[in-house]
Amino acid sequence: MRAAGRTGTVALAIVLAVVLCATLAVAAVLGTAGLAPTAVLDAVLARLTGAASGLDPLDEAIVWQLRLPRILTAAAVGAGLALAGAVMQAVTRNRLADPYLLGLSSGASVGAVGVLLLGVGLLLPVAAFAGALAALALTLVIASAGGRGLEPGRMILAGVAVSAFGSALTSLVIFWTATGDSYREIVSWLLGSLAGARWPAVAIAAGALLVVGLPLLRSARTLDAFAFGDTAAAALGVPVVRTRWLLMVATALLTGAMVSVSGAIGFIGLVVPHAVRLVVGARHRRLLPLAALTGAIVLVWADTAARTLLDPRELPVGIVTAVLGTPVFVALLLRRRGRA
Amino acid sequence: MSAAAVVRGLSVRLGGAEVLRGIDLAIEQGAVTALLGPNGAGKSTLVRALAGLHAPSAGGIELLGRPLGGYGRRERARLVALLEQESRSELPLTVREAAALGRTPHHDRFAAPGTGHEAAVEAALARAGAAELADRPLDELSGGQRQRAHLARALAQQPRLLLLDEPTNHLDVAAQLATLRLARELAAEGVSVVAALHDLTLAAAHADAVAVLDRGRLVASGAPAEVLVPAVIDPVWGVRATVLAHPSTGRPIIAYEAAGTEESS
Repeated sequence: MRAAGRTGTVALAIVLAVVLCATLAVAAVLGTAGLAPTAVLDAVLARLTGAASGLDPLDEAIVWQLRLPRILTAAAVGAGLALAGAVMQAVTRNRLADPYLLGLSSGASVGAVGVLLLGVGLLLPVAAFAGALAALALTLVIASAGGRGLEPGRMILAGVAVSAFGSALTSLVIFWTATGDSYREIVSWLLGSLAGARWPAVAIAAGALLVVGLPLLRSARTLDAFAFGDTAAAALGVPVVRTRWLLMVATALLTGAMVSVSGAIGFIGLVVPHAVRLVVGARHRRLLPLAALTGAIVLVWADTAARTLLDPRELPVGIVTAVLGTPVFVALLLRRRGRA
Repeated sequence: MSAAAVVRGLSVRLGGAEVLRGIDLAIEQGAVTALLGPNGAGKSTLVRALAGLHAPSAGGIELLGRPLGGYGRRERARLVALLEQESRSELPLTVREAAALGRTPHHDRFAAPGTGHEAAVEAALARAGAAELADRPLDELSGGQRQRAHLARALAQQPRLLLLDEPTNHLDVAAQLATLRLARELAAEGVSVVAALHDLTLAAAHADAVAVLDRGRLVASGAPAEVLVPAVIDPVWGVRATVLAHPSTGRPIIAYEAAGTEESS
């Protein structure tokens, strides 16, 4: 039974990896410029081999400078947010926990916008991380104020408050300093947008995924041990406080990096781990890698929808993820009440 | 018999209040020890202190001849398992997955997952009477079935000292008996079992030794027939107890009346 489960996991991971590759390929072909699949392939091959593609330089630039980095960023951000959500749900024992709902994404936006205001773009991911961490600390302080412990409902309410405050701060900073289209800029930070993703964004998002996300996969067994609460985890030999802080900081790091390239995209961290759990169960050794792959696939499709649905206009991708994610969130809330 | 754990002058403070005061108690190896006392007496705190989860404010605990604080967390978790009063999870775990968590302290971080773990989990499931439940999700089970799953998790830890915090709460009579019978079997194999219990008669029937706590102090300890007498029970629980002997086993059976009730003629 266990062995079958493990083989099933590997098979599922392979299937998802293939689906992800196919998704990347299809998403690269879809777009408003109406390029033929062969042209897209030629452009990519030409770049990779250094040969001349014989394409219009503009078309080649659309593929190589716009679409490809955008798609790859979407994949990395989707994987990172799904991973961050799964880890947060485990260490807070709150199935509604997610970087967006707990205010981390919003805090990261404040950090990012603040540092752009100061004109030090290089510090963008660092500032976003600091913002995410500050928001997380604030949420936890508010939620546990009054010494009643971290009750799940209070944690979400505190997250909503921090999130609203962060959004207001972000908007204020942009209004204050904006020279051009401040509304668009506000919307892209608050609702998330991958429209500006170029190769440096790929480097940041993929880098964070490698440096923070991969080690997180190794924490699967520790996350499992939290299933029955802090005392049970401690009785199983887990250093509860240290582990929780370490993992929370890691999720803040991951969230900060992702928000710095995409703005605050909601619901991926909530919906994807939950959906994957329904299929493969709750053990994190299966859940984490499969959630990361699924998150990548979902966000690439959501972003493809965002840039093609209302052609020639573009939707912020956060609208697409919210439309997909809100019904799931409501379903989770109702199920929770049914149990209590 | 030698002692699996020795509690010496143990005091524990929680949030400023002294919950345990100067407890001296020896937990015999291969025996079932029942911790008794009214709500708030400190039973759960003592159980957790034995699991190494509360730092003493004075005194200490020796486990298998070494100070409990001197063990590493994982090393300690390989020797001591704790079954909590309420164990709920938000996660949709199956019984087998929950039981497998008991292997956590035995996993070597750098080794591949071995088959020894799976065998230990299956054995624990069978032992706890949860084998036929193995693939069912925990949240679909009855209280008694869920208890078997949690027992399987504790057994999968393969502990030398098994701590049960009110393991019979919310269980029907048959499930209560099954739990304590398992405790007796484990004790016969050398595992030392400590169970916090509310039901004095149940404790008297299954424990080799009982310890009575009242407001953080140890009031009495020893064999059930010696400790469970009206002179001990009445002041601690605020009742008037009548102790009878079980017709076949001779173990105490305790009946209560409210304190101050006139004896009916």
